[in-house]
Amino acid sequence: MKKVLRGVVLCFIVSLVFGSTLVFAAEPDFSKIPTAPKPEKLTVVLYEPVEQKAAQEVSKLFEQQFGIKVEVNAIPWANLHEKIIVDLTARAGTYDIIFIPGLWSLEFIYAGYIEPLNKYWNDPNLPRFDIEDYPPSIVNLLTYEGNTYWIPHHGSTQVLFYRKDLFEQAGVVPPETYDDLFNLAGKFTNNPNFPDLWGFGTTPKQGEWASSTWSTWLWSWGGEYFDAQWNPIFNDEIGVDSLKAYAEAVNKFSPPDAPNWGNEESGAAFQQGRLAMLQMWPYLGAAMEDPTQSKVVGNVGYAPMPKKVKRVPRLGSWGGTISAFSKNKEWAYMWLAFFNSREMVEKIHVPAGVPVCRLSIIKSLESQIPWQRAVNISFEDTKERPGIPEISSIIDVWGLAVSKVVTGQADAKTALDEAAAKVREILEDAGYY
Amino acid sequence: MDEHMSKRKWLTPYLMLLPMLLGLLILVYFPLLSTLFLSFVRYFLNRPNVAMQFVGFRNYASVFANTDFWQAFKNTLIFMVFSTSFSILLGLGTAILFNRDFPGKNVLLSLVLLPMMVAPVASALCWKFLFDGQWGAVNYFVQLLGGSKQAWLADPRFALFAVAVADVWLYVPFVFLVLYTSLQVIPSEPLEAALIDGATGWQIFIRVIFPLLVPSFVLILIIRLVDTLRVFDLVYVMTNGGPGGRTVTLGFLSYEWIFRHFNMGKGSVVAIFILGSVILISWYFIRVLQSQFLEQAK
Repeated sequence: MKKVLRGVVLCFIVSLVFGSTLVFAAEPDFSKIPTAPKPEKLTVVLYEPVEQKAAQEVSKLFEQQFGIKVEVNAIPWANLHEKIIVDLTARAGTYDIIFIPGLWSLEFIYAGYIEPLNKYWNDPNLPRFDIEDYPPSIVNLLTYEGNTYWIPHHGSTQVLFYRKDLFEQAGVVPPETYDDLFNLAGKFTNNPNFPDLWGFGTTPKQGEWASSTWSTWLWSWGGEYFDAQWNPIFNDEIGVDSLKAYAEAVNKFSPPDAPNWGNEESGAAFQQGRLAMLQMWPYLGAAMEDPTQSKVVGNVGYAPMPKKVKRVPRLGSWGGTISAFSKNKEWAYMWLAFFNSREMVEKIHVPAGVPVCRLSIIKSLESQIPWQRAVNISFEDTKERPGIPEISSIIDVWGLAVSKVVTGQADAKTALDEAAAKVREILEDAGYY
Repeated sequence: MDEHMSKRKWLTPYLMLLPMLLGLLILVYFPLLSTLFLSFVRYFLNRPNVAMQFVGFRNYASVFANTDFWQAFKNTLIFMVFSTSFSILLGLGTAILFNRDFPGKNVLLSLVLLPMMVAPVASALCWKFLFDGQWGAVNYFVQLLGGSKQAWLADPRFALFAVAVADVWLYVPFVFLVLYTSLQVIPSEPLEAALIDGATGWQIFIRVIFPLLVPSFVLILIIRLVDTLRVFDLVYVMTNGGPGGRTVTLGFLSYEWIFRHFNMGKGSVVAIFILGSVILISWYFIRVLQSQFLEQAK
């Protein structure tokens, strides 16, 4: 008996030691430091405001540990791309660390603006970083010819915000399919039991907003933007049907001012209790629970976007890269590894509201963050538009087409055919054919 | 010695002008020539690996065959006509009202000039809220007058005019200021003579005051037409060119092509087109102004 007990205790100790090694061995070892001289300062550029707070707090700890000051430059979304591109084109090296969305991936890689990071985490003299702890769908956005160019810290998908209280009152559950969504939206629109309420909202504003939310509909209908030879195919029957449905949802179930809604405007409409459902990014969830600006505190539920032929919500991702023109690349890598270490993610990113995407953490967040479950389910099949250098021009073409259809200036087929011709011209000019 | 002195005297004006000329060279002529050069090349700022290529007038042909360009051109023309005419009408009306003494005139004068102190972006944000389809003050007043709520910025029929209203509000004080100061310096003799001759108020305005204000009008027209031709910030903040491209102006299109698409060639063509139009408008009205002055001198 004693022997058995001893064996059990031994097994327990061994498994505990082995298990903890599995969990913690992958964490960067910050006792390894670069041989390159310490710079006086590192400079980070990022999109305000989501990661700004987290980056500032982590930077203070980084300075305490390594004695290097870190300047965090937060730039509004509207100017971020142009500022970074102008700086990189001038090879000025103003920024050591650049936070970019997955959407700019190939543009930055093709141009040679950013460094492959695997050479740093594979260097035995530098702390190793466990990139395996991130969803491949996100890591692969910036993986090209065997090199990985970023550490993603922010990953989320579009989800469906819904009013739990109203759904309870109506005795209904969140939609599983787009047919359900249309039925439910119809139930909540122009219904005397739900005065001043509209059934559904999204972001049909011309530009990135319209393109972003329609993408989810296109993919869920089974459509694609391009075939393998980069021929536009979003104007096929599936694409046209998905855009017709998108426009119908906006025109039937959203208020008349909705065609000019971006994230802020549609988020505000939901906060003010004007909408029963909203296609939105989880980062706006915190604003829904803020009593100083929201009338729906405690009444918001979060569900995955519905399915048509499948469920494919758009993926939103941000990650840290190192400028190819930085003079402090090794130390920039140290900061990135430190910023994304498990400790920092748990202690700083999560409380700061960063939609984190480390696989070993996101499951446990389901009990803490109300929208995390919907995001985790959506990670199973999520997509982003191709991050080619021409994507900004193409997104404007898509955004214009969607806006034209939503505002009744063109039918879906005409608008998408026109858009396909423009996209073909852009790609032809860039030498894709 | 004398020769040395006269050389120095000859050089003095050039030396004094030099800092300004250098400033102009760096800040105006160099960017201008660069833009002109870029309009003849195929060059993408975000594709440094693709070499810059001289393409002659191909960018111009491509831009002038682009439907988005002509949509922007049409929008800009509508915006110019609406905004310029209303800002002049309202500015003139306000200037005539203020051209007499009444209690509290100075306080009201400051209030009328207030929009001039507001940055266009801040004004655009305010107007975006005022035109909000749900809570906007504009809809509140429309409903008070018996009308129904409108989605001003989301409806293709109204969006461009809504942006133009914001522009009118912003620039009426400027028009007012120029016309008010011009009215203040009109000599009283011709007005008194007209009154003695039995002219009505309208006749005095049309026959006496208006001709004296023509140089100011021409000046305002030049400035307003040029301003409205380049409009960008109001569109950017209020509608981002939507809905369905109905508020994309040439200034906005140029920004979009250069700074969002990094297509330096095509974006520069639009910029050069705007510049050419500005020069043409200015040249025409300056000629009108000159002939007006010559007429008056006779």
